[in-house]
Amino acid sequence: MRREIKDKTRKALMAISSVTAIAALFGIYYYLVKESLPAIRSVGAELFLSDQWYPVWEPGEYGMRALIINSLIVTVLGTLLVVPVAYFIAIYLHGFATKKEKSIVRRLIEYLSGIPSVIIAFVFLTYLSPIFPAIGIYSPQNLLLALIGLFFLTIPISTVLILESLDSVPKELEEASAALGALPLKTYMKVTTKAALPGVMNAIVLTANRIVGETIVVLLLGGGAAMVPTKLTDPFKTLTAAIASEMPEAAKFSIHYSALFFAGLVLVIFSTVFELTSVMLLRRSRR
Amino acid sequence: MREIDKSRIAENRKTRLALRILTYIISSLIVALFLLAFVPGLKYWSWEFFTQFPKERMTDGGIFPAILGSILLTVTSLAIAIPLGVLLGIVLSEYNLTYIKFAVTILSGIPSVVYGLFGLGLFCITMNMRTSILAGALTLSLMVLPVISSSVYEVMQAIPRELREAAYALGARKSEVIFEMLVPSVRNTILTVSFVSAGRVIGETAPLILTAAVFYATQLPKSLLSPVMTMPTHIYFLTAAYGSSARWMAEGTASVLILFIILVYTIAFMFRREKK
Repeated sequence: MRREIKDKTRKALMAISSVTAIAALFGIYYYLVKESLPAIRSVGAELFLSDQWYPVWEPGEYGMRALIINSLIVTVLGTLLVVPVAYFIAIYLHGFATKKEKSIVRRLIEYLSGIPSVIIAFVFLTYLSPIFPAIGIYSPQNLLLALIGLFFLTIPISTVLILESLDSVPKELEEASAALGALPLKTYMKVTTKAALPGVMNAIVLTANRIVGETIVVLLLGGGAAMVPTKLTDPFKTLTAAIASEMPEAAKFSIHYSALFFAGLVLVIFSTVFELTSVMLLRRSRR
Repeated sequence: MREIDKSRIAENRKTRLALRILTYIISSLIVALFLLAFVPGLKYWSWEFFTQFPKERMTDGGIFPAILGSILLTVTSLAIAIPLGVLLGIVLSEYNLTYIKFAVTILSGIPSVVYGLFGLGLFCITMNMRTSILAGALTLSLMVLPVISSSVYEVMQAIPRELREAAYALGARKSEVIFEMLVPSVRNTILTVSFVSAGRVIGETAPLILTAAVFYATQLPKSLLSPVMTMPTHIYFLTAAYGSSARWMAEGTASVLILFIILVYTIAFMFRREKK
């Protein structure tokens, strides 16, 4: 009898955890859609088509195109900046490093992944940002500074994921390549990388997802102008930055409030697409 | 023949050196980042800094409410997230339910600020918790749920099938195999992931701005329904709203926060090493 009760209780607990996960996913989508409906109804297609983001004016303007484009720009540039560096560090750790080097660098990277983004933002704002006006650049917070911050934020996840996929390639492949006379670098870049390609692509996708959702670094280092930057030294604002900086001031259930939920909806669609891509890549890598 | 080999060896040496330099440069930049975040704030550490409220428009006093708030939020959210996350990891590993796996994958990618929006809509407004520890903790616990469950899932997958089969052969039920054999054998991983999640939670800023944190609390939280100050949001508010007059306090807070993070991660890694 007691055994029966224990069994039932444990099953119930596991069921609760599963229901929580499913409910969280549906709940997030449900709430984002529900709360953004007023903005969709009253602003309409202009949400996507206009660059005019003046939510505190009377009447307010809620064109999010620049915010969306900025989120994409920073994601593409940030990924392009961090992935090659992460890739070559991973190649070094995979094939050239001594055991000790590998474990020290890995540990260092793991600790870096624990530094809160607000601290990364604070350090760059304090020590790097004042350099820009000194060399004649008008905005001390800008796209370049944000990209540098994002580089340090995402180098851990990017390096570790690429390294793990390189390390999972069977040694025999590399030995075969070496036996045919290829130098180590050629082996790692052509043979190992090719065998690990889905894993490497997955690392790129997850890095991009980390950047598109990053808030505080972009908010504090980006300068917060709701326009599309034309050069690296222009200030800019993303969807995430708009949500975090404006939501505390937005009146409950106003159009502004609703428009920020819409920004969240766009973000969660981006991240869902990234995660789906990642799932497909991982499925392919397992074959 | 010998000459060709020599040039190839030299070429390989050059590549190795170039890659080593790159790795060392990035590593030392990471170390520099740590030092810049940690060292400048050390000089503000004092008894007062740890035990007092901020005073005189952030130019004096300490960060006691922020430290307390961070600890309260971390403990509360982990108290919710660890049991749920471990159970969810078990379900992922021992029951082949594709749609739950799918849901967890999607959840793991959702930006923290979106969790904040969700928490604001559901917990703060609809469930009327307002800006409070409980609303923030519930939000953060949902955020780390996928982190905890995927780690538990992975380590349970690594347990050999034979062990499970042996237990079944002795007449154990599925739930008994799971809770009396598998869970105890992954205890260290559960501890590791708990501390790693604590590191994640204690440094989180954006969702807390939306759900739990206030810029300045005049008194300590009375219950789970009170708003709090936390270390990361304190740094954020000081940086965003105050100028150079409050920089010292942001530096001091950053160094305390880094100390917490290093502590938490070191404990996490200790449990992992024990396993090996």
